[in-house]
Amino acid sequence: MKNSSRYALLLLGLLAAAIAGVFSGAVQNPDLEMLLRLRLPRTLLAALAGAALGCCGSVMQAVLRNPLADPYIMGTSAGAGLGAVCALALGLQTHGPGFYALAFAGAFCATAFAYFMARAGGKTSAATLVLSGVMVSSFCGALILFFMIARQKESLPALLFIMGSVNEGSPSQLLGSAALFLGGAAALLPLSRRLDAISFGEEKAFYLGVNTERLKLRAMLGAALLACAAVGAAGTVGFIGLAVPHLMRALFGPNNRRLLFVSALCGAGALMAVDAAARTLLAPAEIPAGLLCALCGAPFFLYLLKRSKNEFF
Amino acid sequence: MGKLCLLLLLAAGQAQSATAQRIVSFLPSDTEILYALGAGPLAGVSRFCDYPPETAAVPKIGDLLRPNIEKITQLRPDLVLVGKWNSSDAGKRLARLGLNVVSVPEAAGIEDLLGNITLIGEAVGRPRQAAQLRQALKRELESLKLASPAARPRVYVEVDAPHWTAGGLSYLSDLIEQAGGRNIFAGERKAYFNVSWESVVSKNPDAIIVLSRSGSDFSNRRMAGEIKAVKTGRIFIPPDKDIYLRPSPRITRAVRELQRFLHEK
Amino acid sequence: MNSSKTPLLEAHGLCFSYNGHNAVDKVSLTLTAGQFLGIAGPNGSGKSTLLRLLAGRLKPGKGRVLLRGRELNLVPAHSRAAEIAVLPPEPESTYGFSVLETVLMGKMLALPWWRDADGKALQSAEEALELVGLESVARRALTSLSSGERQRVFLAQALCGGPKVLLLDEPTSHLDLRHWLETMLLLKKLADKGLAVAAVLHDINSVAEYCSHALLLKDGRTSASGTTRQALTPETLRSVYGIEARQNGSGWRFALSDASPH
Repeated sequence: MKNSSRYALLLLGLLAAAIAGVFSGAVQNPDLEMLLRLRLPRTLLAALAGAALGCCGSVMQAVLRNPLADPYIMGTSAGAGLGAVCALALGLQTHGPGFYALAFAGAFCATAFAYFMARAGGKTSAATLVLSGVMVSSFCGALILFFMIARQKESLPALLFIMGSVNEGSPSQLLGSAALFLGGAAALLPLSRRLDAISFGEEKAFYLGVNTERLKLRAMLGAALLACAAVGAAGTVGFIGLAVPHLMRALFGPNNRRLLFVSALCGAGALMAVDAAARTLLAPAEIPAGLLCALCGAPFFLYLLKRSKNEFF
Repeated sequence: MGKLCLLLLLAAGQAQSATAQRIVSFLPSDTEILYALGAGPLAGVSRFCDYPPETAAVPKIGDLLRPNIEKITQLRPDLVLVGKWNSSDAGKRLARLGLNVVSVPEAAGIEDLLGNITLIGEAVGRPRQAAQLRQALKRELESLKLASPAARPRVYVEVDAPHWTAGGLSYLSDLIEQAGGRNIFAGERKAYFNVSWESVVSKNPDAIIVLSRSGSDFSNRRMAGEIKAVKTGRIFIPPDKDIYLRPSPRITRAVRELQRFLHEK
Repeated sequence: MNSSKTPLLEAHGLCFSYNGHNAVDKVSLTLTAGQFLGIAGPNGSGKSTLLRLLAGRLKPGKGRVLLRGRELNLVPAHSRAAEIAVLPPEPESTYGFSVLETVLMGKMLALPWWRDADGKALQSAEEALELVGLESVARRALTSLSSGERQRVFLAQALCGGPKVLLLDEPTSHLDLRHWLETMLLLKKLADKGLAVAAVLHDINSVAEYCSHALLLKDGRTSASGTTRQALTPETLRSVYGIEARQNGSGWRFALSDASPH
């Protein structure tokens, strides 16, 4: 299949997902006002979150040279969840500004902590970064569970946030997520060629002229911004950040400049589609999008893995 | 011989109306019923039991998720009341230790509540008081029903996190009906569930009850301004949320409060 | 071969130790254009460490490395990468970049990220691939090649950028006889054309046949250096490897000595 036809397919999928997002939902025949004021903002927010997740996942997989990396591998989602439960414990309003401030703070702090824990003598290695991130995630996860058991009354909002579901798309949420997404993308695109170089190992990248420590730091920072863009829009939605880069790499190759772009497109389409399904399948009830992602996405991804005979990257 | 017979009769009589003396209750709703039946003071209550005020002095035995088994056995209760909650096996564990465990089913409506009152009354040997309580509640609810006007406002109730509402199989929905309102999601065969915001907007309720923590920001939601309830300012944030969520004898208070809100001009 | 040329790469009294062990101890060398220096020695004699010091990957504990008269650690990364190309022993290949993309990276990092490979860059890449004999697999994924082919791709990547100095660590370890020959001839030709080439080689006969200069290391110290003829003698080889060496035409024949090696 030629590259141009793959692009066409991707854009078509994106369009279809957007249409599904706007034209499906709990209400059968919505009027124009509902389409514009409810469906459209929410679909837009889903697109932003999905794009951020797709980009973030591909960056993490590139910089850590690990195909199993996802946006949350450095403890970002566990940190955000912990921030969220702290907000609930303090009595802050669910999805209010204080809630998000704490969630972002948690995400950043957990990531930074994991990064600096992995640093020794001014250097980090991909393996220790991953280990450090896993430890931080476990620890934060344990704290979250402890909170849920101790404060059972507030555990439901926390659970929904952690499972991940797209918000309604208030203007501040849209602006905030868009700003974070653009900031992250602006920070990461210039690094794309160096991310290509680092895939040959730290040593070869150094010889090609890449300052690997600076690259890792900047990549983590950009990734944290993208992760916050996603978390602010939809809570901690899993799976998309892991699977989309793989799929896109298989179709478009590992060149990071191209991969960042198509991962954003595919992630946006994926989350828009999943959110549309989440709002429609059990209407008027709504399934958390993150739950649906994992339920449908994981088997689909396994199927692809089997078909490609493990020659996925 | 006569004295012996008398003693035996007395003993038998005691066994018949064996009023349990040391009772442990896990559910706040059961606790309230127990006190209303005059079975207090209790030997132990869960840490969520906060009504009546006498419970403050009662030893706390954890909750259904993490029961303090040691403390419970220490209290040597005659009766332990548990409910079905998150498939906890606290009841089974206590029964295996030889304690007298009675499981009180979940009340999905007012009829269930009255049924539970009878059940609990029998378990603690106070069937008369239970019948009396039932009568009193029924009478009061009936009179409240008569007092409510014909027009039934359509109500959206938000229970927990945003868009967590009550369906037709929930106690809360029944309560709303009792108070003369109509739960817009009463048609759903679910207890409590996460609803899509656009459904709420399209159903355009006349009144909103907010039991979750998002009370003040409700009007800031997208298209909230289009909802009749928001436009006319008919949003009710009850001061005491427990009486709405707990199937207890305080139901009449909840119904009265709700009725006042729903039908005020 | 003209030693009066200005040296491209110089090392003065390099010392490097880790864990209390002196990996490299007071090694000095000079590399000028047109030289092909073979670095040899037993395992653990510090060859790879020395190469890394010369490449700027490690900072010497004592001593310094000069690139065209400038201190290497003061040279900015992109200048260093443009002048010195290094081929480490085992570059990773996690993701399936194509051969052409891999080779182009030797040149592309100097360009801004939005710029694509222009005609000149593509030409350099293709020429580099031709030099290593892999122009036919330009479109294939790196991960689909054999380890020997991958090694040659990375050599092409090193050459694509047009460096002045070429440092290689065991460039022939995965190569079959034919490609080993081709590579050694290529390196000699590059040196003749004006590059300064230094390679860690484990085969003394390679050094003898193709290199112009040699450096023998033992326990991190220079055991012998100079032109190949000067550095490789039965005495130096015996002292470094503990074996008996005899020159046979242009090659060497070895035998274990009666006295057991250190």
